[in-house]
Amino acid sequence: MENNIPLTTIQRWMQSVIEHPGTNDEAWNSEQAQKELPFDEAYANVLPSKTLTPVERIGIYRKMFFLRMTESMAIDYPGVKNVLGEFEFDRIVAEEYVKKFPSHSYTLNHLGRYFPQFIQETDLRNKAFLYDLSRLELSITNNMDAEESPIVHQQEIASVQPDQWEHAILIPIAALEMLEFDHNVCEYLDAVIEEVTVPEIKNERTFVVVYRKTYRTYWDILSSQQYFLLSALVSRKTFSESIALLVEQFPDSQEELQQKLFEWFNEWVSSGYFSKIKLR
Amino acid sequence: MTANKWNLSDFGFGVGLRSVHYNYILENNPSVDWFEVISETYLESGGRVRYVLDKIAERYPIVLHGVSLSIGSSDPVNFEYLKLLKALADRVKSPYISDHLCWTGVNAHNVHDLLPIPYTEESLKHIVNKAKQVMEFMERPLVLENVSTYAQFASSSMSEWEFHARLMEESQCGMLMDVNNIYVSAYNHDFDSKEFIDRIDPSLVCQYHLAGHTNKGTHILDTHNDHVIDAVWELYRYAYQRTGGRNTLLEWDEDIPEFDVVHEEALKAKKYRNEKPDPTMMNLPRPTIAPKMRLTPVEKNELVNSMSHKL
Ligand SMILES: [Fe+2]
Repeated sequence: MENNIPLTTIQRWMQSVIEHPGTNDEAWNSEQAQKELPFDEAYANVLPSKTLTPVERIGIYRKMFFLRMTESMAIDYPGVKNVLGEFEFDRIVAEEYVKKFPSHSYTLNHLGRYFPQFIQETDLRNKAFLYDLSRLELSITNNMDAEESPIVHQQEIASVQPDQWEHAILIPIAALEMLEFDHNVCEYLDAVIEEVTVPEIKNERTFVVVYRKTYRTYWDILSSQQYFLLSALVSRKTFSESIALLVEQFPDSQEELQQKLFEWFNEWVSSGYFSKIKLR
Repeated sequence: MTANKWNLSDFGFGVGLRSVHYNYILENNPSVDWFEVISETYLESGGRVRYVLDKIAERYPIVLHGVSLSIGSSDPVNFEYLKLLKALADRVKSPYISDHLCWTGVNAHNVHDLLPIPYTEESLKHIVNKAKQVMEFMERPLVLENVSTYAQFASSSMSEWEFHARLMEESQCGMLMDVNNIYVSAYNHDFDSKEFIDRIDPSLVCQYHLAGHTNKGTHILDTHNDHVIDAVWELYRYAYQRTGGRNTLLEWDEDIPEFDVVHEEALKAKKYRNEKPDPTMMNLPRPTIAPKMRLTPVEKNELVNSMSHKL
């Protein structure tokens, strides 16, 4: 005979138990779980095995859930994990982050999307550094999945006539993002990835371009002037507008800038930052 | 032996495509019959994974295997997800799509696990209806895999195999028979794995899965982290004798060895198709009482199965 607990009730109950941090007992007795199914009814509806109680059987799913969440987040955020330490990282992800931002996506790749926001809203030691580092790590993760774009080659650049440059607009590749930080996040993350001693956490204005070339993701540090110019270019300002803005922003370095401009530009083209030149 | 209802061709012995093997496959073109790919990894990525998939699809037959259809969830069908899935299936020419007879979340959550369904008339009706919608939208057969489960509901009014058989009959979907999952669930719930196989119409079986698992004493975890054990090979042989050749796929998701090791394991299936059965292997061991589970770093890897890592 069929007992009549609706499918949706069983599922809402089981999900609330799986997602509840803490012990099995706390999860089964949580307000949310009790709201779906009172303990006794839920207990009677999960069959014991010869060796495991209903609580232990659902406990297998609970453990796997938190392991999957913490492992998935650790892949995206090795730097943040290193700052917090494994225990604290796992605790924060399991007890706080996935509760606040449960996965609504078909893929675990999206699980970490709100981690910088979460860090900003949470009371943590080294919070400002962690916020910067998490933004860098999220940008790197997103970069790996961004659309592939064709790239502009040096020959195309060479074929642009001098009078065409003034109005030329450079279209960046899809897999390029520019970020500003107040800490030495690149240095820190590189050390974590290379498994060498991490540097001390420092306040340090840092300008970064995250980009992909031949399906590999890179993050390069730029000077403030480079960052300013590249930001202008990728925001679709014309070549001459971008240079004018740069000179206006850094009036004291005008001569030096003129010397360096083409060197930078060549480097950026060969790094594959641009997918197209639009000429008027 | 019997033909499958959809006349899907038997590609032979395949391997689950995993990112650790990308370079090896691209450089060496191993003589694998076909690849099964986890759909969710490729649905929206424009990066390297998509590039690699396109290259591999040029050289090998591909079948899409999903983990987030959540056909058993009381939530409605997610057509946004299906739209992406259909575009990918067209792109790699997947002759059918497979996923699992399970649910992965409710109220639009995804807990990224293959959760057990209460086998009731209500669930059946609901899943039949969803499966029909999926097949109509996808314009290709939907093939559902039996999953390893660690819990059962008292509210179930039928066995897993009866539920699966009726679902196929009423919705016209097919089955991906994971013989390791049959073994794991038979151990965890103390049923006869042969009976499971006997009760499934062989013409509705479209594919096989084989994998390794971890026996914890009190229960088995479907970890996909090792060679296939002999008893599971025997189940494969037993099932094969009823169905004949079907796409056969080896899954290896944790502690993944070199590509050749995985491929050789998949090719063992050939031998089991041709040799005489050993009936003594069919007797399953029974669960033993073992110490309670404790969460240790070692156990972490054992616990996390095929869905654990980034898809
Ligand atoms: Fe499987």
